Amino acid sequence: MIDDTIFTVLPELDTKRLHLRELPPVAAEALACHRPDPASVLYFNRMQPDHTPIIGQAPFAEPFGIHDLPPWGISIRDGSEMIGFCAFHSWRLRHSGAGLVFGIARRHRNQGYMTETLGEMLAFGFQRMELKRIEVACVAGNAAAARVAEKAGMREEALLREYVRVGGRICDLRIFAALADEWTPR
Amino acid sequence: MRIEDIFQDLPVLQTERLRLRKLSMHDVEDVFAYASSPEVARYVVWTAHETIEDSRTFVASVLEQYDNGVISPWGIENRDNGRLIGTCGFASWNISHARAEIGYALGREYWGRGYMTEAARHALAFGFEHMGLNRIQARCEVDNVGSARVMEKIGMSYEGTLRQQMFVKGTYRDMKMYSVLRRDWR
Repeated sequence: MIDDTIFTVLPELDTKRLHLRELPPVAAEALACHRPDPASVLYFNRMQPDHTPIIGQAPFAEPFGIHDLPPWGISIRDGSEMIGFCAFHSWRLRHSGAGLVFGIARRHRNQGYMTETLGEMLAFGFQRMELKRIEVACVAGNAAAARVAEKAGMREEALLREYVRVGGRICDLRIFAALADEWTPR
Repeated sequence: MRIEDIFQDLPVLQTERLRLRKLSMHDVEDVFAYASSPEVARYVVWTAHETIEDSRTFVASVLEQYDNGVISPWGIENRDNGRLIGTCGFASWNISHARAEIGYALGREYWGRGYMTEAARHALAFGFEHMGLNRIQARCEVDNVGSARVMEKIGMSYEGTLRQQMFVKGTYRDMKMYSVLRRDWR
């Protein structure tokens, strides 16, 4: 059974070093405007041209539709500063699949925070959303994002050529996925 | 470009042996003849039609799509005898990224004779010439050799396999992704 409490409010999650909590709309906006480094934000199918994610559509009007969850903001435990975000998007209820999008401020990169977050997201997606497949799509040039997906245990599956237009440029997407069937809880 | 610009009035496409044209209520019996075959239904999202009523419901739903100007398939008519032998057309269209996906089904006795290749080629041409597409993709299940061959014959390239991407008739299916880009198409 899908844990349907997540439809009212995203639960707060703790990892070894991080605290994740639902971004209030204002903070989501701030993060989007802040956007210090577009390259740190994974580009995905439903991202808007200015690199802000499409956030929190009216949830679950159709039982077999496609839905986005609101994003979690990521902060370092015992700190209040929001250093990044992550969110499930394109949750296809019929097919038990969803995509993940994430981004982190440049000065907090290369410390494994995003990998740690993704590990938590996989656990959440497989256990509480009952997903079978979780996907990350990143622009072919975004090596940092691809590395995070790999480090989180996702397998690269496909290169979709000229799949998205990003600010006038047309880009290939690399597709990574983790399957519930192959995933082991830590 | 808007979806209804094209699908408000889907034009007839004439090929050497086929006519791609809108379905009509007169086709119900022909639809039943091919759609009741378990072999034809094996790799599609719908189940084999059990009664003529199933075919009537299907045709009626397509007619409604025509009326609403939404994405809808062509019927494939065999010019030799005027019988409807399958369907072919666009299944989704993302205008802002200039890409679309095609799908098709064909009566069992017409397999292996290049009919689907002939129909799909004209659908591609239509997409590149009239829908402003840059990328046209198609997916099939990993063991659907016939469909993969059609994709290759119409100039598509294999891009990867998306594992457990679709839940169809009780099982998760691995889907092969193929595409052709405008610049590679002739």
